[in-house]
Amino acid sequence: MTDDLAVDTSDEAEAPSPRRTFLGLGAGLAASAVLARAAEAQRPTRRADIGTLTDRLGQRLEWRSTELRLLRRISMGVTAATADRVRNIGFTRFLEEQLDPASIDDSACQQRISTNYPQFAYSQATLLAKDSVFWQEVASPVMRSIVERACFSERLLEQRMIEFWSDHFNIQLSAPRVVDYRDVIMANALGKFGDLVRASMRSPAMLIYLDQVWSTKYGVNENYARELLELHTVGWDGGYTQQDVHDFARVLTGWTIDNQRRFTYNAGYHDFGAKRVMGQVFPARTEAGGTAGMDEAINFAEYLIHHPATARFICTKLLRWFIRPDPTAAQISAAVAAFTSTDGDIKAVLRAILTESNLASAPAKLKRPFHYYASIVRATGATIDPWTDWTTWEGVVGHHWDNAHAPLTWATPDGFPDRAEYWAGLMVNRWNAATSILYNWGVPGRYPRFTPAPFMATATPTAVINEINRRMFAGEMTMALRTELQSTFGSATTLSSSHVQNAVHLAACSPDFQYY
Amino acid sequence: MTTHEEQCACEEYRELSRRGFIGATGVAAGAALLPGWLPEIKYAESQNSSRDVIVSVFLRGGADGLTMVAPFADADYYRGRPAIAVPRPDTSASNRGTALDNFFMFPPGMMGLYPAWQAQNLAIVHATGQLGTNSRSHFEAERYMEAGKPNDYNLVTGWLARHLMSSAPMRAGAPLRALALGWGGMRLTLSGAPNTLPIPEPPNYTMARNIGPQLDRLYTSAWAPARNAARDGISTINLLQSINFRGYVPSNGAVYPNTDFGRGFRSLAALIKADVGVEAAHLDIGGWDTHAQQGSTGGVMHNLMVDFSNTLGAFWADIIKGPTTRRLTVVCISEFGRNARENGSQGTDHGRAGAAFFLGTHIRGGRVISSWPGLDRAVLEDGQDLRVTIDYRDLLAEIVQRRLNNPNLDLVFPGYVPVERGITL
Repeated sequence: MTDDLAVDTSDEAEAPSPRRTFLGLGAGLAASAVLARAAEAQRPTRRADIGTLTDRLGQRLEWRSTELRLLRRISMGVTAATADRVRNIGFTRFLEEQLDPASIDDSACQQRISTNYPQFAYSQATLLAKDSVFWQEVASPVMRSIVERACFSERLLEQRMIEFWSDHFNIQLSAPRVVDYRDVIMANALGKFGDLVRASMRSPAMLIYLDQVWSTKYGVNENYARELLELHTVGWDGGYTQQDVHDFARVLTGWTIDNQRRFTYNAGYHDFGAKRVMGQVFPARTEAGGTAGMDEAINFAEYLIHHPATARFICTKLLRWFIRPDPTAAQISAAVAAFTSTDGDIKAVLRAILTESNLASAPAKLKRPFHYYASIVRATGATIDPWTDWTTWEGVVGHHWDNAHAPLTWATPDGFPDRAEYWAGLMVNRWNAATSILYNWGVPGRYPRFTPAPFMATATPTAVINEINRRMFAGEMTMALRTELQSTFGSATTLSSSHVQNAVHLAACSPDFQYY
Repeated sequence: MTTHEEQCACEEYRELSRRGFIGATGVAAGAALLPGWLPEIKYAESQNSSRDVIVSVFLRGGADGLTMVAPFADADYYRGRPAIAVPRPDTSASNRGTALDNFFMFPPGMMGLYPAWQAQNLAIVHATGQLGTNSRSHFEAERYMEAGKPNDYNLVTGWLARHLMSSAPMRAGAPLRALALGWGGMRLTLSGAPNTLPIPEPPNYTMARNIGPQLDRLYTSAWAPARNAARDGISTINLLQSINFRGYVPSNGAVYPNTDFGRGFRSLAALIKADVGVEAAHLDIGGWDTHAQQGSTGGVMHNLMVDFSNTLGAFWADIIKGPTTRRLTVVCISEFGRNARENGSQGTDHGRAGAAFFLGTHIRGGRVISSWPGLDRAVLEDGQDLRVTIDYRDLLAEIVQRRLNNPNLDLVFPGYVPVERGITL
């Protein structure tokens, strides 16, 4: 069943010639639409497009199945089982299943995390007590639990959305960030956008990270106000001025934390003077205690959550995440309509974005290193044993550091970049991560463990290549890779374990496996 | 032009075409696009040239130029910053500054660069920044600055990348023309540059299981940017393994701080001395977003300045001071400066103008170049920030033209006509 899905055309082995590009596009889109888009892309700044048009237009000839395109985009990597599932139940049912993560049994993964990495579930009080030893005792197991959840969770789309929001509301890793990751990001990943904003505004980790806890009527700190506008809601071109940022910071004064590092509102810090933010007027009021003045930021948050610029900013960013770096006006409009008509229901927006036609024309996208790592573990069936010795080097989180993509470690509030040109230069680092997964280094648990046995039930070159194709490429491997794999086997007719191990490694390092 | 140089330029022309244009031209407006600007490029001198190696440093987060190069003679500096100003050089405070001239001073943390200043190899430009945007967003301001053009979210290549695109390689066939050191992927400054990679730690750049030849074959037919990165990476591994980074002994007793930034410059010095054709490098130093408890003379910012100035001071002593003269220029910029006045938490919020630093034997050093706009509230931008008087592109363009011998300023800084400020000799 695998070979008939593979597109073994000699065109694939060629460099991206005009012909190949054109053919690739022809398969996905009407030629006229392509020309229009190419022209559109060139119009604003001709020179701007150096080096990007090829990628914008990059299509995969061999990716024929729209179901598999959906699977690739909403998961941390294909497996033979998930490919079978989407083929069996079809595009719509598979998407609906993934949009309802509670319907998917994920107990094995949950059990793995709760048993092996209890640090991930530490209470607020425990984390506070562990603050001084956070980096020695808590940070690495938390990061490892995030990596392993990406590798083993069956709730595929939810994982991709957690990754998305974790970057959108990024906070550099700290003890309070663990609480934020669980209670803000994971809890609302497929909920309402407004709930994410509301929860984030009350998240001690965010208020500490962006200096809100320092901002009082005695001296405001603009940091959080600016990023709440620029990064979280209306976006950098959302139509606000420096004066708006300053007055929004004044509106937010009083939003802070208590000595147990819990969110609190302190009216004694609030600036009750007159303020004006993006045309919204806050008249001067009499100073008071309790929650007096807190309503100002609560109300303005609602204004931001329902601002048209927010819908546009979030939908465009989601389209970039799932579909293409340069979403069209029509794609944005459809997503914005879903956002607006459902009060920012993330599932509704995803239904408007993850359409068959959007996916059919979506150019190939480079996996980020975190995604790449999980996709190797998933596709090859590698396992990861528990690890407890956090005082010595371990290679699972370690290779994420080497790839500059250890979970939650991006220092600035914009989150890890979602741009191929940022990540692509680190190919050598990626290949080393692949090697660390597939060659059984070190004592159990330090690195993943891999056995080639499932790939060689029939140990002939053709059978093994077909099995690599089925497990790692959902049956849509390129001819170029098939040829290269065949040549590595030379004249052997029966393959050894190391033959197969090397072949799986080459497949994981190949260009085909870098994209999704 | 000699025949050899011509050949080199043609090769570069083809490279540029192959990497950037085939995809676009094949599909649509190829004929219209290609003659539009490509033939206008005059390639900079080739491998026999006398152009400098360029090192670009980005101080990420908005470095407070009013602390790094503090205007002690401006009384408003002390009025606006009662808690965080650096004491005047003529006081007896133990954390007092050191005068650079009769107006500006270094705080204690910057003294690592004082020897380079005294040798007149360091020029400082103050009240500089971006005239084309007044953005106080890190991400917008960094993007515009690194791209070399404001207000254009479509420009995805960096100014230094476009310099490299429009220059024949300093050494023909060099596998690695430029690199970004330190943890992370490709910074925008170098994004799109030919034969350029992010290499977090050059001494550790290797393949755990070397299947280079097989991967090279496979990636030949892959798409940019993975194709270029993969193939350049494979050839660069061999190059770097020929260099003894661990045994490297800096000249003149220079000691690099054992920090990411310090180690990066140490590796870079070894790489430049190995003379393998590396002609540009980029390094970030982050953490300048000092909203709270800034610590101008002891604390967060002080420690950052120590790292910055000691690293560059070591690099200066090691590779610029001599006796062996190297043709090399270092440029250090930040996306914006910070508010003239301190905020409520003894820090500073995002501002506008700041300071830029230029280091090299052909820099007209020992001077702070500035037409100081003042810190009185009436002259501050939006009533709060040091005004930008010199666009940073004036400074970078002068380096590109005079030190890198690249006349294609309109390509490197599109749509901008730079004014020369006399920072080079």
